[in-house]
Amino acid sequence: MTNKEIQEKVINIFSTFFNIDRAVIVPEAILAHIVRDSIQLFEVVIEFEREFGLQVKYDDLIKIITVQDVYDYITSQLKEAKSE
Amino acid sequence: MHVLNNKKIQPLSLDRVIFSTTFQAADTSAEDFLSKNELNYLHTYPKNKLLSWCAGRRAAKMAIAECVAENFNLFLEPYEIELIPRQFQKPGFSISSKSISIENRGTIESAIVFSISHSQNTTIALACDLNLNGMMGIDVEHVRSFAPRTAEAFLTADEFYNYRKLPLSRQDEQATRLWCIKEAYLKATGYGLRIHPQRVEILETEYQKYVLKKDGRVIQSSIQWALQDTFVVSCVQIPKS
Repeated sequence: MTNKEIQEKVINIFSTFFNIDRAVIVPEAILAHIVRDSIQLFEVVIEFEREFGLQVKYDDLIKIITVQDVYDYITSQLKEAKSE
Repeated sequence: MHVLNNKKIQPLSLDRVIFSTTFQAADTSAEDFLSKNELNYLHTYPKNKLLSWCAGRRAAKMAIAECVAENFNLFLEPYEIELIPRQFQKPGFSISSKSISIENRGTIESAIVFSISHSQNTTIALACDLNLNGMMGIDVEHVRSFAPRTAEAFLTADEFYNYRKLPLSRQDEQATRLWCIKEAYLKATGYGLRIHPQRVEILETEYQKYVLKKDGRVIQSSIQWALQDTFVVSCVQIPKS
């Protein structure tokens, strides 16, 4: 999966879940500003796991501050899964 | 900027714990309760979340100020308290009041713990003395329906079994309540969503009596919850060992 495809999927998930304009979902956008509450955050994590076939490590969530961090995290997890 | 109306409620009966609730109707100016740093930050915050951010700050500061007055006999203005957010960790606060010595400020800042929660247009906060009450967390959630895969993902196997046994009309409230209690525990401990909610299990042993387990181990805790209108409020207290 290319970086562009990852970004496209992430933007689709965010815009659908939070009912926000795609233009708002820029790499530097802060997640806490986009996510309404913890249930929504949890639902999005589940959706990422389903969409990308990943098992998110919840301990890692602390490092994810911006939308760019989401891209980077998914990219690194996909790479890790591929190399195993 | 006018943002908030403050109304206090006592949804849960816990000794020496201060609750404060704010609703997003107009009457108070942000300058009355935000510190200088917070006022500067205000302008960078997204407009769609501004009211809820302000409501959280106001509710927490009201609770902290009242708790400080009760436990230390010192009186703070809300704008003299600055909240220090930490993503997925317990937030802290600092006091800027010049009428309180630096030593006393440090004592208060480490003794008082607080917790904030938002749901729709309601924000609730609590503050208490760590030495008297132990660690505490609060959560408020509007009763909502969960997609079956979401409920299955955050409930343990036993919780999910019991939830599915309930009539459909009671399932939403039950799932919301369990999420709310788990979230309050995760806030009390400072774990936040850094640990999967399925690692926390809430079992009702008899009517309104709960046992909380983490990773299968019983955690000594006190769980309270209340249904207020269409909101569930829960509070978890973990006594100091």
